[in-house]
Amino acid sequence: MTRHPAPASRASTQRQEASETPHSLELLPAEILQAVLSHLDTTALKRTALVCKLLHHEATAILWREVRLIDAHSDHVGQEGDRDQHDDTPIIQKLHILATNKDLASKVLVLTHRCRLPTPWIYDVLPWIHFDAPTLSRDARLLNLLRLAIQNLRTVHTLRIIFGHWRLTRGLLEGFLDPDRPRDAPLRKLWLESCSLDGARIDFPPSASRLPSGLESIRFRRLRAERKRAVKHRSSNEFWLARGGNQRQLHNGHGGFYVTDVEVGGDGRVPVPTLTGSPRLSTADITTKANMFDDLVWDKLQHIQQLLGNEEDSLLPRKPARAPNMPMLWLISMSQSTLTRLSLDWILWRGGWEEIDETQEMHTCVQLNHLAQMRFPNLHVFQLRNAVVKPTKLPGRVFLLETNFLEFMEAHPKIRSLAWPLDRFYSHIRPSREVQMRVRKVVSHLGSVLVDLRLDASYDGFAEQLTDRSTQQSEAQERIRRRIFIAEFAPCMTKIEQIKIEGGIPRDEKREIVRALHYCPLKKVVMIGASFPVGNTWGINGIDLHEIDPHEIDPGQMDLEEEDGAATRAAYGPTPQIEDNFEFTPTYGWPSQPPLLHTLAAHHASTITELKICGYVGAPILSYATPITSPLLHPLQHFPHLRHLIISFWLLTRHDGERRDEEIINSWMATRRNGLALPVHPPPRSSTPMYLVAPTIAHPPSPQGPPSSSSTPPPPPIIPRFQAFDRWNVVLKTRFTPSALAYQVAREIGPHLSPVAKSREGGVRVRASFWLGEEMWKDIFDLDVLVGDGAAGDEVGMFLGPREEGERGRWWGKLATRGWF
Amino acid sequence: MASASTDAAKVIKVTTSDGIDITVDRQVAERSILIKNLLEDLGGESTDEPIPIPNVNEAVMKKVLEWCEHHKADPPASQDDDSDSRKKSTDIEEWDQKFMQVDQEMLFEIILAANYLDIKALLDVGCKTVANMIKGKSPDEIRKTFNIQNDFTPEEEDQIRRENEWAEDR
Repeated sequence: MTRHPAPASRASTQRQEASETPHSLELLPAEILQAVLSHLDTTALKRTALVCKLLHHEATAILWREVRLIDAHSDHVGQEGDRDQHDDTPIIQKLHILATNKDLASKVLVLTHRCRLPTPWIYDVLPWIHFDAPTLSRDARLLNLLRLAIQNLRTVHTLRIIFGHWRLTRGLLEGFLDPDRPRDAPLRKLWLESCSLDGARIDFPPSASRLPSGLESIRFRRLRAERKRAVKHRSSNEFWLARGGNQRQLHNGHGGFYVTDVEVGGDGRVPVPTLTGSPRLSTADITTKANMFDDLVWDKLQHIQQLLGNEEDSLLPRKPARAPNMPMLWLISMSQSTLTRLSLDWILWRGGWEEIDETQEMHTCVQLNHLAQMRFPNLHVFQLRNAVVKPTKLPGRVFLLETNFLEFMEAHPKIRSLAWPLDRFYSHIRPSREVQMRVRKVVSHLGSVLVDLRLDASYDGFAEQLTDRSTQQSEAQERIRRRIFIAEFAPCMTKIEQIKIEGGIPRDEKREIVRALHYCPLKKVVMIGASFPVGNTWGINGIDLHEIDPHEIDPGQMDLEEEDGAATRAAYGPTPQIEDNFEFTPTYGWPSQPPLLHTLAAHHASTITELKICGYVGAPILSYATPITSPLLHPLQHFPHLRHLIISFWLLTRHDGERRDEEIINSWMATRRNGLALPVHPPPRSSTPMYLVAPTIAHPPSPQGPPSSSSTPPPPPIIPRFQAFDRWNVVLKTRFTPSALAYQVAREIGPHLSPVAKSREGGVRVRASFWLGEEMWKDIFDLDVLVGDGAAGDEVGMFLGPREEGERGRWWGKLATRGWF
Repeated sequence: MASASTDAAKVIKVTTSDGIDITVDRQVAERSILIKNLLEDLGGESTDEPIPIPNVNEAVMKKVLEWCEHHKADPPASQDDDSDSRKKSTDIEEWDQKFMQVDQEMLFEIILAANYLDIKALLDVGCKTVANMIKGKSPDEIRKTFNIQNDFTPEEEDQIRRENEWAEDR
């Protein structure tokens, strides 16, 4: 391929030479051509690349800016009629192009490798899965091709490995982190998620000419950092992906499961039941099968095999390098001088859900101590977000404002964004007076610089309580630690614009954090819990939901507290104000008082533009609002600058006595094009579809105040009736299609939103979050609805979804815009 | 559009590349970040002196100022999180669509002027207009639309097709 001169200089020269000639597309400067082409989809770009050499140069720069190395489910059929679950053909084809076309390879800025399968579900898969699967992407020809391609990938600045195949992960890290790799730009950002770094030879001998790594941002996410155990010491509950072998059901990320090949732990003496009932395959058998699959793949790629034979000499010799014992720490360590962002997000410090093992805890403490002793002169984002579930919880002795990490915080005054477990800022035991003074100094400094703060705590039980009344020693100590944070850290903050509060945090402590941050110009507030963070709309123990649908829950099994209806309704009125001389003094418990959203509005309504309130237990029930729902949501109208609202809804999916989650999800999937959910723009003021089956029982706020609970008729129960026609199909189309849901969300949330916010161009983007799927395999599905969009009414400007997190457009979009990376 | 207002504080003059002075409301002219910054640099000094705009001629400048007049009250562009999706969209509001119904030479002149004068929203509309002229067309139709010569050999075209088959869906 001919390499073209930079169009910008060519165009400007020609413009000077022929200022009187009419302009044409070809004479536009390169940066403007890029701006034009950035509006085109892939199909249009591919056509544009065929127009002429100049447009080819510009279009391929966009088409090949990002390359994704993803395997496929094979067309090749093995000897036993089975198919390869991890066929590398698409990866080989792309690497071949990059290895042979230097010009094209030079356009690649972002490289991502991931397994084609859905990423492991955090609760039931992540604790048990290992990522060092030896039979995936194992062929030497593939790894040599990768080395050839990396020699041409001279401008890659971002490398992401997400649910990566072990051997390919190693090859990518060894290639891109080699300090003597030919390059025009350094690798700046590295994202490693759900993959294994074991055995990666990245401890290179010192190089005089290069920085250790040059990385500016590292994100470790959902990785295992436990002490390495030999395969034979893994339990038979533990497993890793394989090509052939035993089969296992895994969460598919959209409300169901899929079956795939895995190898399981144990020494083989304990029989492990397989889905098919066939005997368990040995590692040798699985390896033989993988080799056979690889031969099938390469037989069809003879031209690439030939290339490898010819190009063997052009492979640069591998430098001798060692595999570090703790590769995660090694990577961080070799980036100390350049790192500005470091995220340790959901790291599994211990395996499975087993009891805490002291040796393992020591291993974790050693790693964290190493981290605390490192110094990053440019660090401004530091995230350790780990405490949500047991395998990720920090060891008992680790606190941010004690010993090693206190020194760490003192040494890193540039930190502007911080994430840390809420109950691990302070110890429950008061330190010495000298340490207290040092802590106060650090907190005082953070108070004037911190703009982004994320707090998390372990999920504890079915729903968060109004206040923590636990009497067990360890829980009481956690409560003490959280409350020291609320009393001594939060009130010192003055610059925070974004706060995220996630996990098992009682509602009164959320309220106190909101109050304590009174001086902060909060723009974005995120509250996520097991239960709806701002109130329980289901009644005590869910009795109101039970009345709507007796099969949905068993009130005897619920532990849900009742809202104070009178106090909640008494809060109706103008935007709440707080006194000018407000001084924060923490108070706990939930005596008769306005709802949490009311407190949030009183302190922060003038600045908040984005609000996320998610948690499914007790969440508003779509189409069946209970009497307390409207009063709880009423304070939303006090937020005139709100642009984004993310809110959980409970969706009743039962029909004729059966939950219809699967059919509903399938109907949503059927509306997609090539797996992509597309935005829908209804015509202005289109008539709202009428419900043909189930009425909406909503209680919109009225200027005179809320309806009292005594005068509100209870919502009618769903009574199954005999169907003479396909009544379910009618229900599906009138209640559960994306458009029916979008209009219903707008109808129920719209009246609560501020007319000022709704009348702004673009209105308020409401993301309604549903949780549904087969029993044991439920997932979150989000429906985006634009409410208002220039009108103070509740018109639907646009809707998109419902989409699960793994929906292709959403998944890749989120990856590209992820904050803190 | 150019105004004959005598209120010196509210109007300014610009001189185009062909030596024509145009009087324009300051608020309208300040849609151009280049002009806005120049005026700020002048500070409290008199704005009677015309500001030279050596890269834009009178016809194009008038067209650009017509756009600025229509959009003078628009809020400044925000950088919220859906900016990427907006970038991929080629939706253009109705008035802008009509405004951009000009011959290709004028269209490219407007784009170049918007780039020089640093008017991002106008540049965006211009780029989207050109993108819409490309969308849905075959390579040959694109060549005809923009009067471009095909400088590929059949072998080169074939190779590009084969390679780009593996480019990612965006």
